[in-house]
Amino acid sequence: MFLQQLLNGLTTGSVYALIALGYTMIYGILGLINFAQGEIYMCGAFVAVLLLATGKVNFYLAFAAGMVAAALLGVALERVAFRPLRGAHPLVPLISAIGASIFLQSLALLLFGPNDRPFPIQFTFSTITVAGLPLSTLQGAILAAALGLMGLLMVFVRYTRYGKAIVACALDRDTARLMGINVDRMVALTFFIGSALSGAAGVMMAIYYNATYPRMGLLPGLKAFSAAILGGVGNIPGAILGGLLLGVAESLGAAYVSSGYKDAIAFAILIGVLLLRPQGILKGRGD
Amino acid sequence: MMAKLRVILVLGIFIGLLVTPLAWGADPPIKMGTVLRLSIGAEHGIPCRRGVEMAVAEVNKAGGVNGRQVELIVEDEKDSPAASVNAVQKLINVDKVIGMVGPMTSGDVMAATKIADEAKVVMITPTATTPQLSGAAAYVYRGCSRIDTQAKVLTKYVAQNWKPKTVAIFFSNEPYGKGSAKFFGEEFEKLGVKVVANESFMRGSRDFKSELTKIKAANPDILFIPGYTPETAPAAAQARQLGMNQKILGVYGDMDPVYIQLAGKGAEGHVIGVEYDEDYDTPKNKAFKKNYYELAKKNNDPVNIMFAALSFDAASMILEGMKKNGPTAEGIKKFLDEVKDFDGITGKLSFDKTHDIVRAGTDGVYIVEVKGGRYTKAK
Repeated sequence: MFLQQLLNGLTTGSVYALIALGYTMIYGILGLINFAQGEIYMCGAFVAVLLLATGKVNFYLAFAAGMVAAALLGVALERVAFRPLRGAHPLVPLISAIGASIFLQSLALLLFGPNDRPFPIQFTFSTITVAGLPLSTLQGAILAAALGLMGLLMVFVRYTRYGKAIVACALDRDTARLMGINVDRMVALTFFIGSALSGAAGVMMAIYYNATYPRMGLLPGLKAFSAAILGGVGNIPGAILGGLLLGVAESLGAAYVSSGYKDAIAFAILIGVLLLRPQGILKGRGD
Repeated sequence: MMAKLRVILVLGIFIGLLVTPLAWGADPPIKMGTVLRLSIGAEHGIPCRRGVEMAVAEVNKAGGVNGRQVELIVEDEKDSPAASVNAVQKLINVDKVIGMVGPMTSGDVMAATKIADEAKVVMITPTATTPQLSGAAAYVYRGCSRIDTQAKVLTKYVAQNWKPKTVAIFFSNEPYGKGSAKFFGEEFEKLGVKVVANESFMRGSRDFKSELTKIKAANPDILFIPGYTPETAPAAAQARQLGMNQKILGVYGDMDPVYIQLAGKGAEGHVIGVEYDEDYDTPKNKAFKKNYYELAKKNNDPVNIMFAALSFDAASMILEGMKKNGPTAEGIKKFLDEVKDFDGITGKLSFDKTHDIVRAGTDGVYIVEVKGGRYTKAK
């Protein structure tokens, strides 16, 4: 049972990590918490589900479309809700982000209705037994896809010109501009990548839970926020570590403490981290 | 100037002549109200509203009550006792209704009973299941069976047919799920079925893997998952993903076509107790079914025929009371107290002394099972 719980935790944790990456990258470059990250996750899921429901699009295309739609929503949000407020008091963009989150949730409620939508294609995932442990191939696939995306992100940030430019902007925006980096474009790129990852997480969860609905981003969004804080907000490996740790902590907490307190565990950890180690496990900002 | 005035005058008299006989001929409409879950839980509230509207439209089309049309006023209970009290008060004091269908949830009905009694206005709740409501108010009636009745009938059926030795309860952590867990748990223990796990989940959560893994370790013979479809259906699907193949028992919130979609293969063999049998063979029910599906499709409603049927029956009985004893609350009450085997679409209906519904020839509950992706009657 312990190993099974560990696996459950890692699967949900990897999704928290993908969303947390969005929080952390945006915080790194702009110093702002984008509370609409959960709605971007919801947008990715809805686009993929609606496309698949038409029956004309194959799964991989729908998945990619979900990611792109989420990414474009992220970029649009940056243009409309954050760029006009740059340089204002830090509380102002925060309120703007909360407003965007409420707006997007209500919009989805109006457009798509309150009901859960099942994922249009049924996957026949089997459970294989590895060393006496029933491993669901669905969990395996989600874990592999999430870790793969995170790996790609790390490579991008470390070894490409654009990745390095993002890091440079995160370290010091003014100096980066003096070095000839187009800061606005880098900020947009950060929103694009961070939102695409959240969108991917949304599609994966739409498959995993077989449910897509307007409020689906609320809880995962808050938990990913806690994960980002846990790992050290602004720190990319920290967000991944934070997400996975939080997922496992929740899963084991539900198993060995009480299932009623499952959702409380994430927030108890958040408060604990803020009190004891506000800089997070891995300190730092940027890379 | 004078010419213009004359034209207006003549026109005025002409229109006046046209309208007056109509205005003199028609009595003011009789007012009826309904308080339903139209925001939170709208997937059940909208079908209920459709049911009430259908009953009223049927009577109006046939010429109304003693020649008077019936006007329906709809309010939202917002899943809050305070909001439902406000809605009932508005219906009684502002709209002057003489009968009401609703509210739907137990908490909302219990809060509103006192107001209905003080104003002496009849109220029938189509769906509240709490035992506390029995005999609680003189003017409040209940159109569905109590949760403990549902528990007795279902647990007995399951114990006889599935012969389990152990059961795991995985309940929604709110009054409905908790109440079901308590009553079903007690009944199971009485029948010698041991409760080996008692876990809960939050409304709004969709990840049940860790709780289910814990339940799996207790190795129960069957699962009982009471709650609402948005959570219970993914829970069933996830249990299957974890390789748990136990039969699953649910409560009547799961009689929803969406349950089968969301639970996928996990829905097969799912047993629930419901209040309505779609195959109930009376002309009235056949007409209702056809009519309901057409209207729901036309208006793009969330579909749930059981909730529509329960509220249709509740509204029909109020309307029948008006017809029989005249359009007063006392008349409706007298009818409800005396009615015997009313030809409803959920069965032959009467009320017992505590104002709970009795369906002649049944235990009050129909048991249905999902077979081949469809609810079919098991008993």
